[in-house]
Amino acid sequence: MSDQEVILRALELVRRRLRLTRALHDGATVWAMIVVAVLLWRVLHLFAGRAPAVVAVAVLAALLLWVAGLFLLARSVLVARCTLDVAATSADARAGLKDELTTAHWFVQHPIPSPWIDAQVARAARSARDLNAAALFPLRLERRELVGAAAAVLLIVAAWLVPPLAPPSDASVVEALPEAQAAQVQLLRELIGQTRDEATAKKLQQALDVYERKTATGEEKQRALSEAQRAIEQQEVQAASRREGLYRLADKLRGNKRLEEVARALGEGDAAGAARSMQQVAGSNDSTGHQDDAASSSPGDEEQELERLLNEAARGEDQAEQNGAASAAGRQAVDRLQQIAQQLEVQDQLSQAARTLQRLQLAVAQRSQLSAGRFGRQAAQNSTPAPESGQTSMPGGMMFRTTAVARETTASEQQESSKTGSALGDSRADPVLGAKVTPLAVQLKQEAIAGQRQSEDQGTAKSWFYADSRQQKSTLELEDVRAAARFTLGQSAALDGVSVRHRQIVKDYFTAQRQDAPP
Amino acid sequence: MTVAVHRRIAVFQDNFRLVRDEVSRIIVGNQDNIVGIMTCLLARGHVLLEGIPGIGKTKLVQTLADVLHLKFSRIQFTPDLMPGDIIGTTIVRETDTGRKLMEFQPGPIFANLVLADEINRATPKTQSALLEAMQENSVSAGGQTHPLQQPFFVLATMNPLEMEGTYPLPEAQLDRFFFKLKLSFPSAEGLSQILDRTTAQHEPKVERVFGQGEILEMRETARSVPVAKPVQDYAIRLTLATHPESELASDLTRRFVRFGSSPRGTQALILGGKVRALLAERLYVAADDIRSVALDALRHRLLLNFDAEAERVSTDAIVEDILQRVPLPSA
Repeated sequence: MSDQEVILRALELVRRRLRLTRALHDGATVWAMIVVAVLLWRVLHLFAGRAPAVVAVAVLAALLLWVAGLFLLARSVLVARCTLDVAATSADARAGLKDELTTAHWFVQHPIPSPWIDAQVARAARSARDLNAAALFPLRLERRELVGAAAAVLLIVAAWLVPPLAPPSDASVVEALPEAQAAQVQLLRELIGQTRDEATAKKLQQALDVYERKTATGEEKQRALSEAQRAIEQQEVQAASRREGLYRLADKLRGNKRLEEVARALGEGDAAGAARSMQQVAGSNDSTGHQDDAASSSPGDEEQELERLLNEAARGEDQAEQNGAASAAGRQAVDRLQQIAQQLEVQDQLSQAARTLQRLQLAVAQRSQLSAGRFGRQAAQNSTPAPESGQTSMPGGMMFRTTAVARETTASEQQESSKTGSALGDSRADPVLGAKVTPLAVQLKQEAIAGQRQSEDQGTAKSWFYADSRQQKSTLELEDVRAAARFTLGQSAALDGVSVRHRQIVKDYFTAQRQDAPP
Repeated sequence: MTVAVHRRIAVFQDNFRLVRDEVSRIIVGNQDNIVGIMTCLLARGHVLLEGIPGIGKTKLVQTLADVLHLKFSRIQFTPDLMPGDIIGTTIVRETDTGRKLMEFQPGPIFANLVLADEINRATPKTQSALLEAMQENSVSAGGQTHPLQQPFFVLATMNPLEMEGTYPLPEAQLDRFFFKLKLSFPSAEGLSQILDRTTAQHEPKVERVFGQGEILEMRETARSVPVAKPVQDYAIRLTLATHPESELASDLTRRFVRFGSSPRGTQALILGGKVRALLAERLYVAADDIRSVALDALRHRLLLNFDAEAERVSTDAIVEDILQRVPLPSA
């Protein structure tokens, strides 16, 4: 066998060995890809119940990656041709032959008559004879590859032993909710526990169900909360009506000296205090009575019934034959007042919770750009700035004033005219043309209630524990004015119907009318 | 035939070893530079030695001339040195009969071993006087071409360009040097040996080991070493990688190199590789032989741009980067 044949034969052996080695490593790579795919599938299966959308995206991404890896592997297998040149360079590199076989193979392929080349080929043939292809290219995996395979098998076994994760429970959903929404859920639960009205409790429960439902959208949650809030507001209206009735009752009882303390407490809206005062009054009447369940009666009937009971209790002091009946009426009045006090107290708590709920709802709506507009239109129908704070409820949230609006105790020219020009609304308006004209009836009413209003400002009005609405306030003031007007008209002695102390006002008014009239 | 080849390799190695050992009796250390100088001599090239003054450049060349039994001349390059001072001049000579003849008086360049000491102290015009001699092995003067005697071997020494009173060598001049070798400062042990050898009563002497014929024979042997195409392609790839516009150029090359190596660089890689292959007792040139001479053969053939000067990037760093990046034939 010539030197050339020896070299070629040795290189052929090396090439076969190289192919086997490559096949082994390609197989290991494919095995690793399968292991990774199985492991990934198992892990995704474990999380499928917890987050199906995320799992779907992960499955798609993993599938794409896997296909890409398979494509690259196939491409490398197809592209990597194992020629004799490659075998020669690989053998040189493994055996440390310093390009001896590569050079010799090239000289064999391109024969040049030269003693140097012959000598070189002869020496390379000797090296090729000593070449042990099996030792140079062993058919075994590297240690790190074996460790990796073992770790992969262990991971697969471990993944199969772990049970799939269960879908999240309601409690965990609540925990997973954002902080504000979790607070809303908690608040709704408290409201359900506090409210005694079945209809309101039902609507609150419906809102809570919607909130805890996993598939509920933000819009559905907002709608349910609005429904619940309307129910609470209805409760508030009833409570306000009840307070107004107490106030009216206090007004009616003011002339009765026995019930003076009761009237004062009722005027302050303190039903519990009124009940205590009434208990003292009723304690003087030695009689027994039965409790009347008035919880189901309407506020108007309740007021009339309470007025009747109070009057009966007051009369019992004066007339001895009616002492027993008066005592029973007193006890009933006390019971009724205590019930009203409890209802008002509960309603106060409900109102505070509802306001907190509204603030949280507002905060959630402001965080969501999408729902902010809808909620703003739904929750804030009136975007007129509040006269005292300057805050304006606008679509999308609450607009806060950067500076406080100065309040004036009396009407000024600015307030009487339009406020334009400044965003803050405190710019000076155009001056009012002509003299100040106040209708006569208004001047009369103002004069009539001046003393009473002054006393309210100094004492009772500030001590009220609740803030009445503007409508309630206006209604009460109107009633006061009417009462005072009736009183004034009754006291007027003149034939023209103008009292003596108002005569100067009437005179001034008509004088001013004549002076301002056009010629 | 094969036996003859092996015998020639053995002779080559023996002669080479003789020269190296004899030079090492005077020169302390610098074994790589001694091998480099011998490689240039046997590859028919010229060498440029760079190092600070007093480091033994001239001593090394003088010792080599003494060992090789060759005609030696030394030219001390100074700023006022003229080209005629190197190549010779034509003079008018009167014969016995009274006739006047124009006769060429050869300069110091007409020698086998020419030491161009501190070549960068002369002006570029004078430096260029060596161009024809180094490339063509001949000198043209007075309308006549005078061939130089073989072996013709120029050893130029130069100080680093940062030193005062030096002129940079022209690119064409630099390209004609086969290798550029850098002599480093000796270590403490080396210094101690230098002192022992030079400050005693008797300085060591060298003997002439062989002469012109042996050198020419060694040159023939070196040229006979075959190079396979894969290895030759590797040398070509290395050269192309020094060109910034080449596809093989690395980022460092593209950024800092203005001009790459000339084809003389590739020739130096192959010829130097052949000598190194013989020294390694190989009958062929391996990629390792090319790599072992790449730095000496390419470092002075790269022209760097201003960015490299500003960032103090040396050609050595670029050549080493190329050696790292260009794949070997076995890769």
